[in-house]
Amino acid sequence: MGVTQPDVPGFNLATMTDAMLVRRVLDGDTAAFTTLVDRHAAACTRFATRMLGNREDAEDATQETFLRAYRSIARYEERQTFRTWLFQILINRCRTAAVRRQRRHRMFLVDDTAIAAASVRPAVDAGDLRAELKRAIDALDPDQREAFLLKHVEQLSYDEMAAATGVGVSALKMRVKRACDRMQWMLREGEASDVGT
Amino acid sequence: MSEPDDPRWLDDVAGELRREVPVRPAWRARLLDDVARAPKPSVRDIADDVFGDDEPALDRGRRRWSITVAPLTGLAAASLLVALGAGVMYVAMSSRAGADESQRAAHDGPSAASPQLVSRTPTATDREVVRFELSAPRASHVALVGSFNEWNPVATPLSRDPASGKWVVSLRLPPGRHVYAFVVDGDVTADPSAPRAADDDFGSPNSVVLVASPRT
Amino acid sequence: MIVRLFALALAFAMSTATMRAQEVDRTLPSQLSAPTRATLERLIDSARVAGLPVDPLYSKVREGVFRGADEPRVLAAVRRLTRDLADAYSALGDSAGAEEIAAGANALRAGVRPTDLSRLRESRGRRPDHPLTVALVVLADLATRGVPPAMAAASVNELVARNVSDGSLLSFRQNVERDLVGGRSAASALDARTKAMIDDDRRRP
Repeated sequence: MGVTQPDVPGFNLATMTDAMLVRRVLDGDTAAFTTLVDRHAAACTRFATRMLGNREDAEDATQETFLRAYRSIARYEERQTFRTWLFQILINRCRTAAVRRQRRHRMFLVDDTAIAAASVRPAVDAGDLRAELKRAIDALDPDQREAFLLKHVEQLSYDEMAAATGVGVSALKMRVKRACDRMQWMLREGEASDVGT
Repeated sequence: MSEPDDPRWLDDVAGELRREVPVRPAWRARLLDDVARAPKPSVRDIADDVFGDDEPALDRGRRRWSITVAPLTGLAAASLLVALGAGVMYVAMSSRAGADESQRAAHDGPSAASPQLVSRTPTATDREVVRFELSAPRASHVALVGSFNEWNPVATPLSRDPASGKWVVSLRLPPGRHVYAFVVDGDVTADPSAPRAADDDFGSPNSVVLVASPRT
Repeated sequence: MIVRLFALALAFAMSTATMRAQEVDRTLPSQLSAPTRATLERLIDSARVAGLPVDPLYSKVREGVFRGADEPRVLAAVRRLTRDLADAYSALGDSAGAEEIAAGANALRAGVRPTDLSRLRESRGRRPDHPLTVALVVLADLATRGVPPAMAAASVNELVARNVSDGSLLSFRQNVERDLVGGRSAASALDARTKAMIDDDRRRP
């Protein structure tokens, strides 16, 4: 049946570090994994939603991420934070989801009506600041969006970002800077049009 | 939010984007359910490529049907080269040697689904004879429409079997998945005893028949 | 060897000529207007280039014409099916056959998620001779009959992971349908029938 929680005062999964929880999962304690989910699901869902632009794709990507993390949890090494390791999986799942959606959109290039029909983004009200921000983020080049979100929203260090994305620190810094410049431009001009950088 | 020229704009933007996206309870429940069903991970589970991307490459072009046909891949590929558009894929699938047991269609168990797979003898054209039947005692005309006859309501009429009183027709079909329905005195209806296709494009559901490759 | 195969294939192809009458007709019905036919040709061509099976698309057009649907509705149906085929192809991977993709598209249409299809593919593992077509047909059927798609997917996934035969999967579907008609809840029917199937499977020599 696996490891049960000892009836010991002070024993509380919520106070354990991620690394300790991972060890408990490997010992057979599924509740420890539940704690990890509860700790990290919100950040993962947030990143995936901002990255992919819609809730449905984000939930699929996040679901996949946690399942892969569970199945391969033996591969987690403590030299990295669990969050970074988890984000590495999530980033790959988001990239895959984007490829999938790109293929779908590509097929409709010959038919303009179909492009509109195929769009999964909700209608945005141009007067809504939050919507403007969403459009600006969505209009970023995916590499830049990814870097921007990891740095300024999820607040990973550049070293953690490098580990999670497989991209070098200086390239990441460049992407973040370009993303910032572009966002600033788009928000100032009031439309998410393509700008060369 | 501060204006983009204001040095605080980035803090404001980041703050806005950091706004929580709530985790739906249904999503969480489903994940934990999947986790509960999954085999428990152990230190021996290190073979998985946890970060791997197993999606098809974006720029991959035309599919090669022959990939799905083994072990006669060479023959299938050659067939495709000479028989473009003739639907040889079906034949290629059915000529696969040693189709394993799991390829058999509905008749392994006593609860066989309609339509009835009548003959397993491979014919010269490698199609299976499939019998469709419908109980409609008050109908005066019943026809079969589906992907195998271009949804043509006059192509495949059923006739009444004097013994059972049911409407029947037997058709030679290529192996694979086919979607169909009955037309009973002008009304389109799904086959009540067959698996359903999820399909409300045109207002009513269709049925599915699976024809297996004949064993060689 | 290649020449012999080629000659064999040629003979093979000749003998299949008589089947032509019952293969999917890849022309568009003349009842459709020229602009609609042109749009459909472009859509179907895009799908073909993307590596998707096109027979289901031609069939969908013919079904629409048969059912008397107006042209916008036929177009919408073909677009929708194309999207579903693309998503199924992505989820099931490059080695999926045309039938699997079509069955997968139908499962997605029934409300099953792409991740569930991917999971089925992982459960099937390295058995390329064992297409998921029947599992996907069963899954679509259950979801269409009101079983929550995620629940149906979990059950079918369990059976696929245990290498249950296609015939057994079809029996399973029929039994669950019978239970649902008899008033049993989806959860209870799936649970009971999945267990029964697994027990049967274990007892098999």
